[in-house]
Amino acid sequence: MVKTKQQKIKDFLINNGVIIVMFILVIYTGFTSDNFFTSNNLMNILMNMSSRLVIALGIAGCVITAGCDLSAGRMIGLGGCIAGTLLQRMDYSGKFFPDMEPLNVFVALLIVMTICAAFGTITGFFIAYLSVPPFIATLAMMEIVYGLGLIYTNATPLGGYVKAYTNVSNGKFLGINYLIWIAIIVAAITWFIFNMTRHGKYMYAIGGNPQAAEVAGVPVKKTLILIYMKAAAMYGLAGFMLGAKAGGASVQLGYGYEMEAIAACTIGGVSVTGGRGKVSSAIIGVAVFELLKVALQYLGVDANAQYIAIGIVIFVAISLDIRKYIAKK
Amino acid sequence: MTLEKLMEVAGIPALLFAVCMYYGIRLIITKDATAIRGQNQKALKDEKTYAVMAGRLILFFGAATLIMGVLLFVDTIIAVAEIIISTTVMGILWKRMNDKYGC
Repeated sequence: MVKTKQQKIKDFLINNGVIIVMFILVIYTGFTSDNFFTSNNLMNILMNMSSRLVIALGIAGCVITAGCDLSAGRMIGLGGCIAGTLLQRMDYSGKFFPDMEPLNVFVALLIVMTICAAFGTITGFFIAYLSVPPFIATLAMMEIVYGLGLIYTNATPLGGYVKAYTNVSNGKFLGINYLIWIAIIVAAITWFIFNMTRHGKYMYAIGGNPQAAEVAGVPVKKTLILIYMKAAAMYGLAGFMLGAKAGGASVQLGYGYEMEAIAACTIGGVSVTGGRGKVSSAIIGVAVFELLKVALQYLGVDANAQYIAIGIVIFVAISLDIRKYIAKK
Repeated sequence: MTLEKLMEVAGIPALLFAVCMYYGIRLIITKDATAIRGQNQKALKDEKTYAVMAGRLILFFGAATLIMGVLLFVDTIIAVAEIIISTTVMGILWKRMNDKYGC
C-alpha cells in the first residue's frame, strides 16, 4: 500500500514524537532561562552525556539482538570501585590497600575492563549455551556483581584518588574534556564494529531473525558471548569515568543507569524487538534524555516529579517503538 | 533497624524478588513463553509446559534472591556464595528444561 504524503507526515510525527516534544521543551527552556544556552552548560551536558553514552552503546549491542542487560548498573558500580581501590593516594587515611602504590591509570582501566568483561562473558555463556533468556541471566549477574562489590569494598565508600585519575575528568585536550573525548572514541569504535565488521552484521542478523541467522551459518553463540563481553567492558569503562568525575565511588554507583540507557536507546531508535539500531540512535537517545533532565532542572521541576516525567518518557518511547514494530509486521 | 538501612542493604535483592515473582507467576498462569522469550524466536516443542517450568525456575531464583537479601544481614560472603550456587543450578536446570521442552 502506497502511503500518501499526509500519512507519511503523520507517521513521522508519531514515530519521532518524543524527540520533537523534547526539542520543543529544550527550545522553551533555552528562551525562558538565562544560562541554558551557554558554552559552560553545553560542556556540562556533554560531560554528563559521556559516561551515559558509553553505557548506552554497550547496551545497544544487546538490545539489537533482542536482548537486554540489566547488570549494567551494578557492573558500573563494581568497575568504579575496583578503579577507586587501585588509584588511591598513598597519604589517604582511608586507603583500601595501605601498602600498595597506586597503579598507572591505564593499567587500572585495563584491569577494570578485563574484570567486567569476564563477568560479561559468563552472562553471555548463560544466554548462548544454557539458553537462559537475557532478562533472567543479566538479572542474576546483577545480583552476583552487587554481592561481589559488597564483599570487595566492605560496603565502604571510596575516595582520595590520585591526581592522574581525577585529571581524567578535569583535564582537557583542544578545549574539550577528556571524558568527552573518551565517549567520542568509544562511539567511533562502536560505529566501526557495528557497520564495518562481520561481527556487526552477525549482530543485526541475530536480532532480525535468530532462526534465519543460524541457518545462514552465523555463529550465534559465539556472537552473543562477544556482545555481552564487549558491553560489560564498556560498563567497566563507564564506571571508571564516573569514579573519576565524582572523585569517589561506592557499590551504589550507577544505580538505575541500565534503565536510563535502555530508554535512551529506545528513544533514539534502537528497537527493543531487535535487528534495528545505530550508533547515532544511541547518541540521539542519550542527548535527548540528558537534555530533558537538564531542562526540567532549569524549569525548577521538583526532583521527585522529574522521575515521573522521565518514567512517562520511557513509557511513551517504548510504546511508540512497539507501535512501529506492529505496523512493520 | 530503619527502613532506609534495610533498603540500602537488601533493596536490590528485594526488587529482584518482586520482579521474579511477577514473571514466575505470570508464566505459570498465562502459559505464554513470549513474556520472557520475546517475538520471532524458534518454535518450542511444548510451549505450555515450557512456560510452566520456566515460571517455576524463575520462582526458584526469586526465592534465592530473597534468601540472599536475608543473608546479607548475616554474612555477605555466604549471601554471595548462595546466589552464585543458585544461579548455576538455575542455569543447568534451564538448559535441561530447554532441551526437553524448548527448541
